[in-house]
Amino acid sequence: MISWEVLGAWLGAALVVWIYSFVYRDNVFYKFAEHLFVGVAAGYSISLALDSLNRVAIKPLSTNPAVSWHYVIAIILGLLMFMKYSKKYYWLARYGVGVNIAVGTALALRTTPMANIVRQITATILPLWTPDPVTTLNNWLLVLITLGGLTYFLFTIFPKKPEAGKPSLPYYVYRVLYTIGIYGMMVGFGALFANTIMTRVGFLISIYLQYLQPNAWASITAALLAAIAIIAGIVMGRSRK
Amino acid sequence: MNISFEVIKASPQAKNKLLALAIIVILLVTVIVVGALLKVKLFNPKVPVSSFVILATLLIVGYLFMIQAMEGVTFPVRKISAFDAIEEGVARSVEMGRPVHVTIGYGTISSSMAPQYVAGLGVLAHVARLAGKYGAKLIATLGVPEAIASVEELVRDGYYSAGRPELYNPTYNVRYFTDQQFAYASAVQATIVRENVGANIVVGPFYAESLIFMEAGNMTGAFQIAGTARETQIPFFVITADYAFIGEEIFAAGALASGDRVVLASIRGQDLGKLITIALVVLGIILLGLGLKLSDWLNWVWTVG
Repeated sequence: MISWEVLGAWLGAALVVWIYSFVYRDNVFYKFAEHLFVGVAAGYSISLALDSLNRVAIKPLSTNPAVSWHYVIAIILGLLMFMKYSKKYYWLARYGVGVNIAVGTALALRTTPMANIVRQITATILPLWTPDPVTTLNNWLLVLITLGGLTYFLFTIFPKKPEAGKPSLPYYVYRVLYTIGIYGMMVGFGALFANTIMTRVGFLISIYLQYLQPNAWASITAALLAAIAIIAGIVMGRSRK
Repeated sequence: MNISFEVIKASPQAKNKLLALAIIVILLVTVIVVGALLKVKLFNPKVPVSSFVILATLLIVGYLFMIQAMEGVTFPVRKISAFDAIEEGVARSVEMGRPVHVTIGYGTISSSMAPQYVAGLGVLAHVARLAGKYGAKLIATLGVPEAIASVEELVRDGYYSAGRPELYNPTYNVRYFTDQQFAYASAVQATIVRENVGANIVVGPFYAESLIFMEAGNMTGAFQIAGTARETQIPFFVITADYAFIGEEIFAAGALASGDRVVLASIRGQDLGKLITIALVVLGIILLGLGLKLSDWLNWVWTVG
């Protein structure tokens, strides 16, 4: 008997294959899956937004306006965004966006000195000579690559190469640290890349397992049928051209 | 007896400074008053005092640099190859008769990723101006609902400022999909391939979708320029893009794109922060050699009472 679980496995497996088919080329099945996905996601976002508006602002305002009066400011700023549809007052929409950006920037700024500066400095202040040669090497690498990375990201304060004559010592120090910064970052990016790929492959395997668990045969059959449909669609599309 | 009073008129620059100072004072007073009214804790005893001192120093220094910029001082910016390549990408697309694609990411602008969205919008404004200059078709895709109005305005301004208003078509030029990650990603990759874009410019905060966009651009043989300050995604852009903005380069690019001296002055403020960090690390290591721990001073917490 066909249960909702089996139907879900069929649909899930077919959608996975349809989405993957884009790797070969764009086709009608990918278009269907994409439009379904975008439509469902947009609808889901609207329902989430309305629910959040109701929970966070409207309910507290209607039940206890004396305490929650400040939510009115946020609602007005939100409503201002609809002014973009007015040709005369479209500029009012900027205020909502402006406050939003300012809040986001302030949120980022709040934690930056602690997380990105103080912790970075304290973690980099390391002894450069220790009894253990491996720790010594590790500490040297850490200090040099940190200083190099910081030097690489200096955009407006840096010693310039003189047009004539020998460059100054600060220029040589800057160039050495800059180069260490680039190579250090590239090594770090390589490690991050490999790590992320491992995580992604883990996700892929877990998705397959998720679809195979409720009914393995239903999933495999759906995937095969979806693959046949894609091939047929592409062949038909080509013959039309 | 006639007494004449000489009216001393303040210069526009002095007025700007006074206005900026007045706004800062009003904001500070508002924060303190509203904080007291709503009983918000304005002081966190668990955070070291040094972080507040560093933040305050950087804000003051940044403000002083901005004043210098307002007075006409210009700060030289080092060459950023990816930024210079944007014009090449737009011009190439026009030669090939293909559109230029720009995306700034998805999500909500009121998150801690806001500076990256702003940098993305700065780059978009630059691309829009170039699109107007060269007569390129521009497609700006996004998944940030709050930024739709800004993106439409930037693209329109780009075409209008170049004297080509006939090229602006909001339904074609600006495409909002959804703020859900992979739905947005699937729609953007399809747009890149279906529109056969000649240049694919991806600047903003990106997550797992970064490689999907780059692969789609690769499928059409597009000239690719990408950048993000999210360190887990930078490797993907470095490997796949023709030119990549690495980390903070996107903020410098945003400032360069604006062409505003005052915005560039803020980059100089950030640079000073990095120099202070370098100096403190070097000083800390020297002091450590002498048996003193700078880390303890930096981690000092002011416990009230």
